[in-house]
Amino acid sequence: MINKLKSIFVGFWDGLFNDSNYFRLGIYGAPNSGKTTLANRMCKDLLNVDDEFTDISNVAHETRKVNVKERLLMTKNGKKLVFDLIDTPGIATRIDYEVFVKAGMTQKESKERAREATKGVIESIKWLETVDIVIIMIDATKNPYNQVNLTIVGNLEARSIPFILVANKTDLKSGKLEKIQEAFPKYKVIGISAKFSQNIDKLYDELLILKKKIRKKRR
Amino acid sequence: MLTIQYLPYQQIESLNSKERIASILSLLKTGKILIIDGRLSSSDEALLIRETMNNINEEFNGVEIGVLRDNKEHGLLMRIKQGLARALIGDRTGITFIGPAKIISELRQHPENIELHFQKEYLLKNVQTKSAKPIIQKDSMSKKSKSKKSKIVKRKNK
Repeated sequence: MINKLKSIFVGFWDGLFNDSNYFRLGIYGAPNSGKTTLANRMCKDLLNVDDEFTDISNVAHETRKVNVKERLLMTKNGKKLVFDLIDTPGIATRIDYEVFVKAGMTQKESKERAREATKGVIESIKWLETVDIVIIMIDATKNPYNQVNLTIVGNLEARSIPFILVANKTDLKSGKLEKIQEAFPKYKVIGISAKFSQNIDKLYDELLILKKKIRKKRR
Repeated sequence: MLTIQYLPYQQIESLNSKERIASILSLLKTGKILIIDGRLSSSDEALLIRETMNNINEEFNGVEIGVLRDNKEHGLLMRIKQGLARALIGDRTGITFIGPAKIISELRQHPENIELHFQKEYLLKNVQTKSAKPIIQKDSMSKKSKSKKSKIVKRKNK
């Protein structure tokens, strides 16, 4: 409670007098790459509460709306960051309601979920215009040469938005960080397990570095 | 029948982004697989995803897309040449494969190649020829099932 009040107060203070310290951090990626798991983990770490964005499930498109957690405060190595955390629905090129039927939903529920999912993808892409830094979540157990990942990277490069490539699920045997790094040789890839909170500190360190880049851009 | 259409990028280059994506989507919605000689810009790719989502219904459940690029490291002279070409006409080198998700179950990209995995239901419905049917039956029939079948025939004859 005290921590939450503290973060609200600091966020408010920064918003009034020190806006250069504030930014919007978006989490992007394909469906089921672990975006919401990471967002929940960050809330737990930075707000010290089990404040969940949305439920997590193995069925794709669990998050179908953009969720924003405002003014999160991160203090690390004497440095302070204040940011809005934006958890976005997974970006996909196909949405088939029959997949949800196979997962045990009724026809009606499946069609409704598919309809919401299509809206979610559109919303995610729209939000690209408002973010300052992006975390691109890549499922380390899957083939990284996925056009969705490449499209996100391309769009961020074109807009000069700094981003971090994160290979999630490296705790799993099939999670191969090297493969992701191989697919994106130009960039540094951080391997994490959002579920078990492994290596998240490295991600926070990288955020501090990237923040400087947007500050430079703003000046 | 499966139709693969070759589309040179120059053919859609003069269109604006919206028109370009609309023309690609209209071809995909007719069930064609497109091979574009060139590649879309990242903003066009994002627009393609958005428009695909806007068009999704029970008949059209999206697209599969993949791009093959030249990832090889070139010498200095070649890099200068490519840099100049990029500056003049934009980086459009590559080959783009796009197909309707109703036909392509997965488009698996690798650095050097792309695998197109087709929907089984679509292949069975549209691609299997009459002459192929007996071959599949013959191949899938094991010796055991063959003998069982012959026994049944014999019993029936008795």
